[in-house]
Amino acid sequence: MAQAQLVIRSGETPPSGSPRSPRRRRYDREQVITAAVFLAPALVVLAVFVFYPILAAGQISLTSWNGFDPVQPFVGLGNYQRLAQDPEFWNSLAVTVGYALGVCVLSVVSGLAIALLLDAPLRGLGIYRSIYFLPVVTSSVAAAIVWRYLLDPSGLVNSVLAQFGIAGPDWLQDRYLALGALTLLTVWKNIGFNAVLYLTALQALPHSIYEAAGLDGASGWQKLRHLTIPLLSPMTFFVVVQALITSFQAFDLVYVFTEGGPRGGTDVLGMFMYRTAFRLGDFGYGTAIAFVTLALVLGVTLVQWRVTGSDGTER
Amino acid sequence: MHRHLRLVAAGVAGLLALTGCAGPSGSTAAPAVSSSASAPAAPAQITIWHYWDGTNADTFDAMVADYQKSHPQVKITTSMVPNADFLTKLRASATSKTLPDIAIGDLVWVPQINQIGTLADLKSLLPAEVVSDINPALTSFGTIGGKQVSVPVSANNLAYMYNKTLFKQAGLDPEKPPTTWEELMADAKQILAKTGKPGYDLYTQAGDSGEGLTWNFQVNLWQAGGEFLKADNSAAAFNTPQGKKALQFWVDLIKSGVSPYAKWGEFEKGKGGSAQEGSWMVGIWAADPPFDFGVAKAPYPSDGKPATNLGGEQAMVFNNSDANAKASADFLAWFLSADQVTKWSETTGMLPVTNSVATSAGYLDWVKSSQPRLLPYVEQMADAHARPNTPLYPKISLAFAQQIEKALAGEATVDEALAAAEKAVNAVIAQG
Repeated sequence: MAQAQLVIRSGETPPSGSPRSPRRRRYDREQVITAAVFLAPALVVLAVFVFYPILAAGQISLTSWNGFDPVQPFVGLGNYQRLAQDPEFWNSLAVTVGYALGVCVLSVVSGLAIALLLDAPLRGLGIYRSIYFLPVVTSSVAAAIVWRYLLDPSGLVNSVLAQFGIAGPDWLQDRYLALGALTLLTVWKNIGFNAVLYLTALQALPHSIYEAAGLDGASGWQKLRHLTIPLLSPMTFFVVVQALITSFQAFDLVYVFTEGGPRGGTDVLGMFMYRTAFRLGDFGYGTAIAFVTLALVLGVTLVQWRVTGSDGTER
Repeated sequence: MHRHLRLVAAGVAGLLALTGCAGPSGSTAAPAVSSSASAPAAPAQITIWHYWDGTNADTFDAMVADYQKSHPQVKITTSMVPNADFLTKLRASATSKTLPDIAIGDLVWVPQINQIGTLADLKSLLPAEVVSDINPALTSFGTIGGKQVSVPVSANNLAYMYNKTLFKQAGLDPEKPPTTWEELMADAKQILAKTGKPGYDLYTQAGDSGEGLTWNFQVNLWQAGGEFLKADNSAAAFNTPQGKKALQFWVDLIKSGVSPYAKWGEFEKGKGGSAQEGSWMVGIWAADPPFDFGVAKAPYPSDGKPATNLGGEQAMVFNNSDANAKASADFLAWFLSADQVTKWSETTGMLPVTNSVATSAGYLDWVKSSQPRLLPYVEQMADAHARPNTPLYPKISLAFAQQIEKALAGEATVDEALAAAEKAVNAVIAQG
């Protein structure tokens, strides 16, 4: 999330020196020194705790290190070649992409719908807002365990279905049902957060436009379709990027909910990486998976940037 | 020249200190005498990592305290490192050169941990009579490249555990558990028919390590006369008529409805007739059994042979310094002496690792009088097989389980699953 915020901010105020800023400011020597002095501690911390580990991981991904042997045998791009031929990786990638798409679409739809409801003049609004926000503050582990019980063959969901004479399936033993359930769980977990984001954006929209549209005789639906949704597109962009990053980094929820099962049906990249590195002690290969994941998230974000423009307005 | 002399002097002094310190630990008989005699050497400080909690951790700490009382020249610090973090933490400390002196972990980890390369050869550090008394299936696990890199400190195996109340409800004699696969199937079917509850739990899912499925399945594989890997661990050996027989047994159990797919744990909740369970469950349930349960040797096919899988913890000594390695070995020799093995086994419910204790009248009397449910496990130690001793084992176990679960889920036939598992396991071995 922090990354996404950074992305947005840097997008909103283009850095000086970019073609968009009309005048390039000249800095005098004193300013540069002052800036350097203030930046140095942060840069040192970043270098030690962020840049160095990333570089070190990049180096490990070129070895077949097992985590124990003091020697880290260099294999060049061997791990990446192995990934390209690994059916487990392709399965994992397909699962992650499907999951990410589902989470993105449903996050936007559900977040917007709830925000519109919460924006309406309602009695006891605060209570509703708290209720929708509750899953966000619940721990992932607790949420996943409760959902697992709900979807048990003899759990609540199937008991309710049985009341209507429907024999419920074993949800978590069918790969598509399990992936669907995981997607819903993720969206449900973050629904309050997305709603709050949309709510903030909604309340910042200028009243005057709506009044003008009202004078022109626009209906409520037309206002929503032609005013609200386009005006909210920067926030939609943010919600989508955030949902993408969340689903590409998914691990804790999946680990507790399905452990990547049934038979690889919910084996997202995070799960695959964890299993490879920490369960099987294949650190070189595991870090290669992590790097591919990083590249994918970066790539997707960049493509979106190109398509929608860095500030979310369509180009 | 002067500097050299000083260095030599310092070296000699250091050596003296080492021998002074190691001397008393060599003889376990009368440590107090030698330590009070000459210059009081600083005690050797050794650290031990283990993953036990509850009774096991308390018992271990109490025994360490006992040892300290009679061995003041060694100072032992124990740390509990959670099972799931154990290897990760060991890897980290190997990198930062802060390894413990003794690590006590799951026996399947030994070949992996051995790759750190600093494990001491316990054959030369432990008295020969201590090593030769240990159950050979257990020492075989720590024998790598002619070195004894680990010795067992506790053992367990898998046997047939059943719910006596459900047996009665199903009209079965709770004192007559099945002894063959055929009887197991018949009893389980009767339980399902009469009580509607699953008759026999199976571990059907690979999960994120595969080992739950693999190590349970190996029992049936060995019973059918099969082998998991070739003797030199160079290739899969389970895709044989024996392997097919074992997997067919599992598939039949699932198809007949007595073992629902992906429902491991029903037995432990009291909602299932029986399961293949480890001896540790006897210890866990000893204080407050959740239901009336019985234990029998693992049933085997009427034309097969008895077998079970061997588990437990092994101790490895990191060669941090000669003095520490020696002090560590001295502690292990003490821990493996008859009195201590008996005490550890009786308090924790784990199985004795030495033959002399496992067959001693004292221990067997204790089992019969206070923990008769352990008896089948103790007797089964003679039929216990060890899993393949290779650092690739975790990968092999997962690759195997991922293919076998397809047969159990009905997505592949027995032949297809075994062929796919053979291919996957051989690929892991070829990958190295």
